[in-house]
Amino acid sequence: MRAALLWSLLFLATLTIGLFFLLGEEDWLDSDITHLMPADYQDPVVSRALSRDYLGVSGELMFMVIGPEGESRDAAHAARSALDESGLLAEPRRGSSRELLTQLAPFRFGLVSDDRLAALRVDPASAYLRAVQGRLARPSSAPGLAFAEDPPAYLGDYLSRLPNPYPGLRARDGLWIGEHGDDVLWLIPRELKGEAFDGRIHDPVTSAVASARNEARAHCPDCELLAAGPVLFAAEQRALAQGEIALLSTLSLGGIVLLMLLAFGSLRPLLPGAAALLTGVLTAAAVSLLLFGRLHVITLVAGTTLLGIAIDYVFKYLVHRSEQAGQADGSSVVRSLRRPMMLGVASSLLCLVVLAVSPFPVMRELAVFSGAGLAGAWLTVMLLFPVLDRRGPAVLRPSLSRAVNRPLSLFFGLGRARWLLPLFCLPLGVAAYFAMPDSDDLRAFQAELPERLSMDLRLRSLSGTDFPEGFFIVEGDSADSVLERERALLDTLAAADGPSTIALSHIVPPESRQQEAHALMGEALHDPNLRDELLALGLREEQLRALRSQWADASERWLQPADLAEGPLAPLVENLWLDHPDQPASLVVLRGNLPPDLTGDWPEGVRFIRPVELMNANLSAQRSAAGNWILAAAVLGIPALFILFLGPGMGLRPALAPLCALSLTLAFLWLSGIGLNTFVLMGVILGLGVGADYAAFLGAERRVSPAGVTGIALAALTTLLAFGLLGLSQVPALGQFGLTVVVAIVAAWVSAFTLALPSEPVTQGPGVSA
Amino acid sequence: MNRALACLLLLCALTVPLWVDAEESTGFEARFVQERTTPGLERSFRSEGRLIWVAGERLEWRTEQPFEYAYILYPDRIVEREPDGHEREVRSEDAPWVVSLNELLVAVMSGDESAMSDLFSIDSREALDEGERLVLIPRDTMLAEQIPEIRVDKDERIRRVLIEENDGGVLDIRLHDYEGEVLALPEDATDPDS
Repeated sequence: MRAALLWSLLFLATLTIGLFFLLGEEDWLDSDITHLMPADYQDPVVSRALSRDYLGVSGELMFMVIGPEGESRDAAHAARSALDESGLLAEPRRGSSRELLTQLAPFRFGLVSDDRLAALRVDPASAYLRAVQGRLARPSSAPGLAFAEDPPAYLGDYLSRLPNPYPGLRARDGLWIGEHGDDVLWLIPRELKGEAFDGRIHDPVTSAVASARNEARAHCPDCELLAAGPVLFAAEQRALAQGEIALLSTLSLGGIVLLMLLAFGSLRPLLPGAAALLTGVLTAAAVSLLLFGRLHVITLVAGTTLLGIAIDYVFKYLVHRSEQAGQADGSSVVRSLRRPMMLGVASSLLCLVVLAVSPFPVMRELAVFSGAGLAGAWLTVMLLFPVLDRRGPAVLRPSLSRAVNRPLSLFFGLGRARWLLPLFCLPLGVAAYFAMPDSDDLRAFQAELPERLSMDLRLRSLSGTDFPEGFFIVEGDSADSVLERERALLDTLAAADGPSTIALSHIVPPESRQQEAHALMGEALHDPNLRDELLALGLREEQLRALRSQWADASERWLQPADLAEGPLAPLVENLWLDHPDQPASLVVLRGNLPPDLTGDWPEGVRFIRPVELMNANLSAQRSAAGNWILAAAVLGIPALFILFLGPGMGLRPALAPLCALSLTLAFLWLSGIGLNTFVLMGVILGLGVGADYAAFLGAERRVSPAGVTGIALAALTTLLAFGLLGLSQVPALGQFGLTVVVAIVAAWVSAFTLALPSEPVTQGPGVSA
Repeated sequence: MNRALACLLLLCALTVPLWVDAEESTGFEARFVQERTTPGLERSFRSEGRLIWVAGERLEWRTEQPFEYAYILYPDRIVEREPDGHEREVRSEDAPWVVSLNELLVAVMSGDESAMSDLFSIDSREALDEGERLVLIPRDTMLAEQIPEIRVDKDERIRRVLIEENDGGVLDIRLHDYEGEVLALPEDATDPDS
């Protein structure tokens, strides 16, 4: 009874924790793939660069209505209203031009556009006067400061060169308009009020988009509405993952129920089986949530396969109980299974513990989830099963047992030849491990969503925001040297007819350039002929004196990125300027592909970075280092556990079985051309734990029992079923994970029967007729 | 029925592009007198010259007095010819914010009401002794920050354009001595009440 009470406490505790998170306000289901990555990069500048939303689009959503001109306009306005009514989206802050002018006015004598500066270099006074005359004669209002503050409107002209966020489109009535063949396109940029990966906003955002689409169609049946943004990907990924979890768990549970019916011809074992699985899943979720505060969908999808391993303990109990029917009660069976089950659980947990100390959040989470789940299921078997099993055991079908035990004679016939397996496999495994190519790819962590991706690419192409993969990092000793090097890079790109760029030096010129512009403008302002001309145009003498005085005051301070850290340009500066007191750096973003002949030879301090390549390389490097340690720990730890539990005489040979299984798995993957990546490594480690479990059950017995063999066969079948189902996942990495475990289970079964079988032949238990 | 017809006309008018196909181009030439009142200048600045509009190609603003200056708007660029003959070209891709401003200018100077209704909301229409006065407000909020209002006096031609600037400046442009075709459009195409 004490055991049942302990189990009840465990169950209630995990249930309470689960309900606390499930019913709480926090979003505990995480779908952000970056959370699965190691947090640190070797290069701190790259680390800072990748942490920036360098395009400023992660929170941005874009909608586009395309259709005939008049109707599309109405449709775009209706769609905009529908989106804004959701309360989740807001118009991106463009900032007030007046505010920007006020902010830049003190620096205006150093801020001149390229062509104006070129003209000032030739003849400052004449260039200045021409600009003033142009300002007055033009039939439009001059952008920028008032005439008395900046007669030639140099600052307005300079600011009018700020990059257009949507090249090719024009601002119109709060939207952006452009032509698309015979049709017109209307862009509706919006910012998300919240986090793209917060699951609580996914449904409302999806509804708002559907409503906008309906509104657009109501006003223009021939129009189409495109939508793009990280939140839409995240919502679709999450819905897909939740669907997969439901499908895989249902199929896995269905398979387990069918297997129980097949093995026992009765539904009676379902109750203890369900209790073990439910407790396992609850314990897994509760421990993970307590440790991490959230669960990643990848962990949850992969974790559903835990059912296939957790049921192992149930089958082992049931077949041994059936075998000893009439001879021993449930408590005695549990006592007799304690040693092999402890060894199996300890081996599996060892493998999971070494995964849990790796630098990969995804490995840590999966290890904790699986380890806690296995422990929960094992505790249920040990504590609750004797209590549930008072009515007598379910009887294993003799025909099944006979069929499963038939290949045993083959393994017994191997004799000393069984040693050929480790002799052949272990070196092959080592060779395979070091020869397998890296295949880490961040993109494999996500399901492919071709339709969503295609719409996203189309919208980005039409709105001019289809930035190519990669950007420049520019480093220097000081802010000024960074901006100088940026300019050198821009000159290099311009000389090679390269793409246009988004760069901070377009807004904040290097100090030397500001100083030159300031000096040339001073020369002009103090020119007597220009003075006469300006006075003739109507500028008062005192205004000219004030202008000269302001020019003199501006000679001490030049515009720096930090001056724009607040105000309308703050978001752009924040994304492009990697501010650090010792190591200033900036990003230069391309608006088109680099010419093929322009690669590698960049000015000093400039590097071209491809983030996905870099993240994958980083993933590979860290996975490789972690993998070595994990495998070393497991390879040394499992034999140590076998020797500890079974003694050196009985433990050594079975201990070789999981290592052979590991080697066979690696060799199979290598020969199949599959590279090593994070998920393959996780599958290998999990397979190693399961293989150790089989070897422990066979090796712990002095004589093989048909029940033991049948238990392992049923366990292997459920695990194969669960992990085989992962092949249905639309997340490529999970498919590879499932395949690896499937191969590892087959290898574990073969290795365990080759190396861990006791030397004495099969005996018949009373409950089983062989 | 009238309302439906007016809507239809409005939709038809809206389908006329700003820069129409050059092969179907119409155009005109007129003389202008521009008087610019600018805070900071003791007196207003007066200039005179010729306006040339070739639909689909360009709008030329040629100042002849008190100095020679040309401001020529093409669909993809602006060319400025300064008093000393120095030429300066600004491509729209290099100065995207200039494009919007110039669109307004082309729409108003060319008298293209469909283009005007695209870019402005028509705040009011007032009958004059000859013709009418439209009060236009830029639809784009950033432009409206700079130019709160434009008044256009017109009969079959644009006669006067009064641009109020947010710093208190006023640009008063009078057009006369037209030569060439009228870019004719339905009178009620941009009726705000329709």
